[in-house]
Amino acid sequence: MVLAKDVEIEGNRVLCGKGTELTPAIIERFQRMDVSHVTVAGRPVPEEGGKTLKEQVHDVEQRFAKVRHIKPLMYLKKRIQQRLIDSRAAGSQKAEDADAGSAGQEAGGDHG
Amino acid sequence: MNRLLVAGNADFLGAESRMLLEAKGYQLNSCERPQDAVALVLEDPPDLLLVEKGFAEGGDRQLIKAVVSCLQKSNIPILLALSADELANEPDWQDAYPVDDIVIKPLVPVDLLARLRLAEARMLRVFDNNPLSRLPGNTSILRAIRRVLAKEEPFAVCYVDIDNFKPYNDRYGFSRGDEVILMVARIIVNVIEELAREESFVGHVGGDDYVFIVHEEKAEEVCRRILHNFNMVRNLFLSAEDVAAGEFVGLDRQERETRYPLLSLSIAVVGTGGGRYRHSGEIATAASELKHYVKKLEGSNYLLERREPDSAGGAATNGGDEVAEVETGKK
Amino acid sequence: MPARPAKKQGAIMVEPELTAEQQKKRDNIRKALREVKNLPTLPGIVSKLTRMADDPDTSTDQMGKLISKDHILAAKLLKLVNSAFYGFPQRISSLNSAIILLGFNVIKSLIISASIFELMEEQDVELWEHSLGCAVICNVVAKRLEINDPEEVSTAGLIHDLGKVAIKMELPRESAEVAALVESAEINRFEAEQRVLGLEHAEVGGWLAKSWNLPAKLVEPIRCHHDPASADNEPLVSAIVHFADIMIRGLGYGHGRDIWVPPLQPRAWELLRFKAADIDEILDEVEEKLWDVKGFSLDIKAEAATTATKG
Repeated sequence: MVLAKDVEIEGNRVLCGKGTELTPAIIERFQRMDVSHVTVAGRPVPEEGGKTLKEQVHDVEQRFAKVRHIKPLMYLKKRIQQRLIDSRAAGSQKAEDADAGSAGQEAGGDHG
Repeated sequence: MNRLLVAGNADFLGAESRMLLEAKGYQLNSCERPQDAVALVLEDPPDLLLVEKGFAEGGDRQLIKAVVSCLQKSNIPILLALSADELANEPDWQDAYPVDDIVIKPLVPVDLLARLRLAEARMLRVFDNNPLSRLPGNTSILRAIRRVLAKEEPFAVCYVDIDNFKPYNDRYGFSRGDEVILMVARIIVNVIEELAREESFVGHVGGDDYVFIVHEEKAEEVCRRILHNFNMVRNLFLSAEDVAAGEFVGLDRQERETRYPLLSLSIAVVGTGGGRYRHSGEIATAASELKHYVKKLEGSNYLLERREPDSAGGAATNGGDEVAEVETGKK
Repeated sequence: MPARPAKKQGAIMVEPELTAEQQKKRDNIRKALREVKNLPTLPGIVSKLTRMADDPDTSTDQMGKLISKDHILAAKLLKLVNSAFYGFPQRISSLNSAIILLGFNVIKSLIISASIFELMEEQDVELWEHSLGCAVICNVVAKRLEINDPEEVSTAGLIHDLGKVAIKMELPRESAEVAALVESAEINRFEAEQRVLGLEHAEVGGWLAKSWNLPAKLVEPIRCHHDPASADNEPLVSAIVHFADIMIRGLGYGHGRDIWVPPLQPRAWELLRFKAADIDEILDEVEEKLWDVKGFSLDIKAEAATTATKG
């Protein structure tokens, strides 16, 4: 995993810069310095036991069930659903890329 | 002045003392858990406090701290009840137990009563505190300055002033003016408490003038934080339209309509290092010259007195590019 | 107290005139809710704050950051700083300002005196996430609308559901009835509250905020977050909190079984003047910030678990 954003700590000091690859040592350092979460590059991959995309989209549909007559909210609903779909698609694409790519990667390769 | 909070283990007060105090008109409220006592102090403060030393493993100190650390409650007399043995161990009266008086366990009712009465009377005699901010006044300020002048380590004596306070008062009324005075007092106290507590001092000369003293190396950080916090809070004390306009219109001393910038702070910082000053009056004079310059700067600013040529000196403004140095004429 | 008039079609709820008996019931409940003392917060938050307060290296800023995620402690701070003793009656409407004016020691005392939920339920954490998420969206929207002090708006967004905790504490039986009705009838919580209690949490929150001397800038958005059109002084802030509440539910941060996105009031929509592109951009900004919310609640649950095992 690679950091998508700088990890800042107290006093706006940068602990770890964007682009750094997370190693177990670095993660341990984060824990010691009480960093609770970081932003990594790439789209979230569905967790095991998590909902399928279909279920998630349906959940959103249900949430908005009582406001079908309100146009702006229907737009909001569509956008939220679309983002879910997009992020899943990107996530699986990245996973495919990574699989395909790692086969031919050498140590000096540049992931970017 | 008769609501007494009694905090300690079950019935350390004793039935006799309780009866006597109630007979003499005290309203007693007992707490065995420090948590409850602290909540009371925060939301419904008593007039007097009687604490049993060592109850609830440190609960006594938490409670004392809660009372002492809040400006508005610094006039609540605190009595500490302890055993002769504990007394022999010489508690830390400065830091851990800044109490007003002690009573020895087992409590003797008439003794306890006398101590409570005396503590109340003493509180009324403390005339030096500013009635609004409860901060020490002129006499204490002079004493504090003299104290640091006598020390080896360098201190910074800082004079804080609220700019355009009179037009603000005229526009918003004295009640609001009082709120602002209180607000600045709290900001100064809280910043120093957090950043530069050691050997520090905060006083309120009166009106919109304050004096604080910190170790010299902390001065800039403290000034910057005070100004930052002031800027964060200031707009709550102004009307939305004035904030939007960035100024307000008032009358000057000649009754002419003038535009005034919004409230800001000016801090003049005089260092005691290098043995430059020997008398508190000299510090006040130096400060007043500095103030003359810093009050002219737009917005909130602090200004350090320029040091001797061979040491690093300087001044700073609040985020502006302007850096002003001032020769005070002192060698 | 005059009975509430029936509202026109198109508004949130249509209420009949109250009978004398219903009115009496309302007044009784109102009295009970006024007595509410120490509202509890999540144990994980208090234990974390206690650790922080005991650590000499902790700054007020750090504690402030955590408190800004807890709607109960935030409300307490605001109540304290606006109380008669502090000298700023109804003046302080932003949490950051409250923290600056109260200072480290007072905050520490507040933490010591804080009460906690004995048993932390899943639903409780959801309310915290919902409140924090609402604050986040309020902040984004307020900045977008170039409001002078966006932090005041996010403070209102943070504490808008105060009434829910008060109802749960003071009327636990009724609160459970309400929860059951939400589930069985599949309606919004505030509708269920109306049916069971004859009042709802926004109103209750408004009473509390008012009795705590909070400024109108906070009282109104709390009271009017389901019905921003009824706001006299702060219609825009109320509209923002109303919208943020809707959006955060749309994003999945409802509370308990009340997952339903409530209707958006036309008047609120008018005040906000958003177009489609605005919604997209707001979603963009908000999505990232909401990871903070998830992170926070994971933190709190982990904290509570550690404390539990320590015993």
